[in-house]
Amino acid sequence: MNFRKKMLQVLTLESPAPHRILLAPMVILLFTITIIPTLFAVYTSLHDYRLTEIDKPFVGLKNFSDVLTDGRFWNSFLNTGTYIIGALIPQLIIGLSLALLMNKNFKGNKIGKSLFLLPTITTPVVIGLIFIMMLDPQFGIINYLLTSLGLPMQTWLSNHNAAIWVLIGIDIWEWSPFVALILFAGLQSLPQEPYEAASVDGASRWQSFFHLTLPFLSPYIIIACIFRFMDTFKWFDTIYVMTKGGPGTSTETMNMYAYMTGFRFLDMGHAAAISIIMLIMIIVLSQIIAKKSNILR
Amino acid sequence: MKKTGLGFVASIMLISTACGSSPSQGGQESEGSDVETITLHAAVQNHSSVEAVQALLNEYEADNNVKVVFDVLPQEEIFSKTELALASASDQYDIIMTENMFIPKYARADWLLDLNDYIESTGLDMEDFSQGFLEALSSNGSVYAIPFYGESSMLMYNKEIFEENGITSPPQTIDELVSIAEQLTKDGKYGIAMRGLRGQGMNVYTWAGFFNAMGGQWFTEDGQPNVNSPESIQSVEIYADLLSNYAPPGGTEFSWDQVQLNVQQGNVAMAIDATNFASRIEDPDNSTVVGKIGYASVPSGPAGSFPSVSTWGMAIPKHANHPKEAFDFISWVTSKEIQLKTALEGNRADVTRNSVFEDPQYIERYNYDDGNWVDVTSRAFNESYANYRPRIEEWNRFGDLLGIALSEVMAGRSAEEALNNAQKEIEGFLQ
Repeated sequence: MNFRKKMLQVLTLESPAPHRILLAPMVILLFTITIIPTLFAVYTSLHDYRLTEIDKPFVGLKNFSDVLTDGRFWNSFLNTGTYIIGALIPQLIIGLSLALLMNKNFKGNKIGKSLFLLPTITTPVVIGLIFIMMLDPQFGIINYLLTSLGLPMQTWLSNHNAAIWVLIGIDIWEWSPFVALILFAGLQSLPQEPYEAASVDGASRWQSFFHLTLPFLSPYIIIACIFRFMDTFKWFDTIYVMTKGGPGTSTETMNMYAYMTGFRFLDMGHAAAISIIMLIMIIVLSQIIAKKSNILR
Repeated sequence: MKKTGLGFVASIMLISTACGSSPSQGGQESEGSDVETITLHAAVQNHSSVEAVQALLNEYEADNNVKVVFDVLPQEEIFSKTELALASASDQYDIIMTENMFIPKYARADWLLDLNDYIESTGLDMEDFSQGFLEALSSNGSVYAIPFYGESSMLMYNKEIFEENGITSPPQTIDELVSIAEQLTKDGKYGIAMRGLRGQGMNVYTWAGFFNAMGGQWFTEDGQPNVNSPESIQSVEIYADLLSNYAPPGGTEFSWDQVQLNVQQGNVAMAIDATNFASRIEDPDNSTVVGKIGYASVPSGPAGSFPSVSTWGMAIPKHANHPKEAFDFISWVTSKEIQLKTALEGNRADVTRNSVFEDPQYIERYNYDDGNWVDVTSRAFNESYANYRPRIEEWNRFGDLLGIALSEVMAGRSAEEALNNAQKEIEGFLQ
């Protein structure tokens, strides 16, 4: 076919694969902003890439072996793991409780549905800054309340063991509504007949909860888990604003360590290596979760 | 009807998100004047010296037909932001404010303009600057930044608390410091406040005085790092002990502004920190202890008393758009007139020109503690040891590791263990 006919075909979408043409602009855009930077990150991780040096020689997998033998990296790995598990499990429990609560009809139900999302839609940096003020040992409101109840003052953010739990607590407060929202959508879509059948058979409330509600909700629970896992794995905002990885390195997660290495020490090679390792971890884990839960049927 | 309504709302939301998230960088260009106005962008630290200058910017802009836009950043953030701009050879900034510790690194990476030519061609008076500061901002004979504000460290003590407890003079040695801190931690007040937050410009900054006073050496004679020597371990133990036991709650994570706040609020009997705290401590708007603070040299150890040296200067990035105008601005802002004016109108206990320090108006205004402050400060400026913190290119990483070690010791780790670990890591990347 000649050129003119081909162009007409494309423009009037009479080609054999119109969806390809329609999707092409978006695919090209996503490709540019995701794939290409990732490839450059892989390139950077294979070189001794420091911003202060003009030479950036190829060093193969040396950056990776440096990172994997670095005690500080494994410390950050543990911190990340603590953060994820410590935040995820309470979020699920609280989120589920909130969702069940929302499902019932009570006065103020409608207002509650709008208000309970407030923590999630607030900017994380703002949350971090406000909590720092509240937690200030001498001038913060939390210590004011504790001391007026006769309890000792807290210095949680200066404590190597407690600091990460403060961050986890804030994460739970901030994201439980999000989990609740997803589970609430699931609850709304529950079929009624199994419940009627169960009550006819004499099942108790707990039994119908455990054997009917939870299994029906499981795809939603898994979706919520995946969302939250991916988010907490790379969480940065509140950690940076509140502790910057301190005290010591007790709240330094892998992402924070990569940030420090790349943007404080200007050692982009090692920072990229840490990031690629994180990428591999998350690909492997999400594949395992997806396969196990059979979501991608 | 509903569908179009939804579409309308959705598009409004999209537009407002797009507008809201646009970065508020960049200066305002002058609107349609026939003479082209140049805009200078400067990255500056959030500091009282900068605030004092901001009040006078209008005058400079009017006299010179330039617009000056200050990007004011806190100390921790200014390094990452300016270093990224320098590393990417961007022309985002015409002037950056940076600290002496980083000049060797920036000079070697060839990120800053060598200012010797501009100095010669404009005849800027360099003799008048505090020579220690000038040296700190130079590398290999080239001046890379003009000293804007400079400081050393000193001991500040609350004379009222001292008198109430029958202590007549400030501690002169570190041992005396510890015993007085212990004695005065009672009845809701605390013995001492110092920087605890991890960082080369935070806890390491004050601790280095103890390190040097106990006889620590950053490098051995053959150039090997030596941060886990017995003297170093001892200095860390003393520092951690002071902050864990005799500092206000949360004191092990204090940044310099929290140290300053605690002195201003009269919570602590002593503090060791920057000489330029004085102007904020004696400011009746913010301080409850005006006139009650005494100033003395930092306590000495076996090897002597080691006040710090830190100076922030104005430098010009290599790829700046308007280097000549930038240099003119820098000369103006560090000139004797402006330093004196900002000192008299604002809080500038940190000037860098000797002529200002000796000016009778300056001495009259900054007559804290009956002239003691000026005495101790000029002595500290003259006695300060250039390698108070080692001026090596990898200082950022070196210092960061020491800051972490200090933080860990304050949490309970053994000083020997923490420093051995830091030594190992430092040897690792210094090869």
